[in-house]
Amino acid sequence: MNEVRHLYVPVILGTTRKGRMSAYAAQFMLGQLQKREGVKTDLIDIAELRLAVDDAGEGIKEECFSTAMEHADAIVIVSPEYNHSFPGLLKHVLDSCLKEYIHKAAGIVGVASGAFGGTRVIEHFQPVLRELGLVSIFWDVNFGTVEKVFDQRGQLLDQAYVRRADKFLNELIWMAKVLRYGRENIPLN
Amino acid sequence: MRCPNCGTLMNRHAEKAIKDPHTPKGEVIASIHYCPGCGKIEAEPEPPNDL
Repeated sequence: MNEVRHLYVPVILGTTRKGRMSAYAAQFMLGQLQKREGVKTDLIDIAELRLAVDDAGEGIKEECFSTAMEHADAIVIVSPEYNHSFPGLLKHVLDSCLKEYIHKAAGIVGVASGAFGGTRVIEHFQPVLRELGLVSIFWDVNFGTVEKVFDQRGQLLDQAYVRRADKFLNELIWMAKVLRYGRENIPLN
Repeated sequence: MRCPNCGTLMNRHAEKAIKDPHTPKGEVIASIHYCPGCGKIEAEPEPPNDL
């Protein structure tokens, strides 16, 4: 019997900063994914990866991260906005893979203490995702004024984010299924 | 190409320029293959061309 493989959609927590509120957003997105039938997920905390910083790119590939990206059908990147862009270490981690990403879906969850909710970091990500071979979806989740969205224990205070995450994940999973079908069945030429 | 993991015929679904400072153009084109059986991904350099 040909077993249908589940979709694998890991969540990348893209900051190492102490006291990071993005961890709450990542845990929330992880929980929403865990409710989805046919989807497996994991939290990948870039603070736990042991990547060299005296080199860059695929020369510093880390086996656990590379394996997760190879198995992934889509990724959720949870990124705070630092000085209007993404954390340098997140880019360093993402740059360590390439073939693993190609024709896979990616969605960005922006986190910020300001009202714009990481919209600028999401925009900055678009050319990066394109060059990595990832396919960006058109829904985002913006956690603006994040100190008011989660309490100090990480509990969600604003239930509107459940609906917003649902829209985002519906699109991401649809794209993940389509792209997996393409990777499996549609030759380039 | 057969999958080195499970032997399934892989699908060549993309070509991607990959940086390679050791080549005259600074990059090579790689074919990207995906295994429908287990999800394994392989990248195979293409022969040099005029791109």
